[in-house]
Amino acid sequence: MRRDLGAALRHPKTTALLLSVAILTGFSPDARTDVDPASDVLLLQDAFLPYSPKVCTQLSDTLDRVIKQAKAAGFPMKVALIASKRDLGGAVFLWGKPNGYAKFLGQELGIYGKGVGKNFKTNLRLLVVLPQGASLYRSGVDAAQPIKGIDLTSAGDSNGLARAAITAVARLATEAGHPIPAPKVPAGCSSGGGGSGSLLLIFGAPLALLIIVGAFAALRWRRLDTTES
Amino acid sequence: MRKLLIGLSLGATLLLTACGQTEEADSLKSGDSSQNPARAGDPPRPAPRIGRGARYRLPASKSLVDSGRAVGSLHCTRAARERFGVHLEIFANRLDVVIPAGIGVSPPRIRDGAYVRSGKCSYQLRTVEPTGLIEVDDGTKATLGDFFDLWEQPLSSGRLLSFRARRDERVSAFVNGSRWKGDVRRIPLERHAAIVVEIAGYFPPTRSYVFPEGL
Repeated sequence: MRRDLGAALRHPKTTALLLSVAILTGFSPDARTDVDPASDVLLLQDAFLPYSPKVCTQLSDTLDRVIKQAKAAGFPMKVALIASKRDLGGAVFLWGKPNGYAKFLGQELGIYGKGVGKNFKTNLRLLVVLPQGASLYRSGVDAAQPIKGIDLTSAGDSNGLARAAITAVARLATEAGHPIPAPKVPAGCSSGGGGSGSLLLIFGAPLALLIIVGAFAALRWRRLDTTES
Repeated sequence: MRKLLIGLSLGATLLLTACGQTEEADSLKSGDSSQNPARAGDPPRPAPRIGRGARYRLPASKSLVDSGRAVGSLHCTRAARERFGVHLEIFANRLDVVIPAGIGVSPPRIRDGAYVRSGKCSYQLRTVEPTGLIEVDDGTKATLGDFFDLWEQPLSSGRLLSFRARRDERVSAFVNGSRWKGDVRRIPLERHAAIVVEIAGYFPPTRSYVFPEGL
């Protein structure tokens, strides 16, 4: 038997075949651990927010408040906002797949299975919001369902995702028979690292500077003109 | 003729593999772009389960870091420096161990939910979130052993945290998906390294990690 194996290994075709299999299995892009930051963070708090751009303070506070209200009404929920691949860490293959990521994250956290999950003592819902869609994962049902009718924005707009999540949490709680007051979603953000604030600073500041310099030059020009005449 | 066939077979295999890797590399490079969603037909990957109980949820540090004393060549300062990221993932019995926020940050720590925002001082290696992300000061030459010393947790070929290897086993480690063959304590903490350490079972290791901006 050993001799047969040795002979087979010495055969160039067998070697090529084994090498091909080794390359395809051992170095396949799919052969990897799936690690994402949201799972660790959600063990300790109820919302995972994007790294960058950051959600502005008003919106993150409102999201926290609406999650607390839902919990108090008997509808505990965890929420993950994913604005870019950076928020997925080692699970970037789930970018653009709200249902896939919701199920994956729910399994990591151990909130699936019949009845109560392993890491939590109460039944939980998990809401994930990506620019491509939102999805809900529930204990007892090892599947995720898309959430429709929520305004979603483009990739990288963390504030837009937060607004969508605030609306979704309130709506889902109410639809499930745990009504909570409709949250007042802040339209703008004046603090924090929100996308709109950053954009204002990046484009607004140079524009304001240009206007001031232009006005100063015009004033000076007019003065010179008056003096000469 | 036979050589030609074998050559073609190997060539095709390498080409297929390269295509897959290029696709992955592209998807990583594209960062925030929504133009490059994952393939629709991707098979679902197994999710790593987070372990339950105190052995999987360890505290950030004990006496050394709490007092701000030097740990080997690492010392606690208030100086703000440029940092880079290293990602560490630990598996025991195929279950994920949570790496706490606050390793290398001396108390009193200011916390914000799962995150540690600041402390009295911080070491050249530190964690400010419980995600396995290690922040390393630029210019620091440190190893995984140094990190575990700072954490005050055991790491050797036969021991990982409170878990001991069985007689015929060793602690195994992977760096960017490749098996580390040397002393696990000597794994260098290099920029954007994805390190996986495992004991009592195998979980497919990660090959890359997309780091937050600025790290």
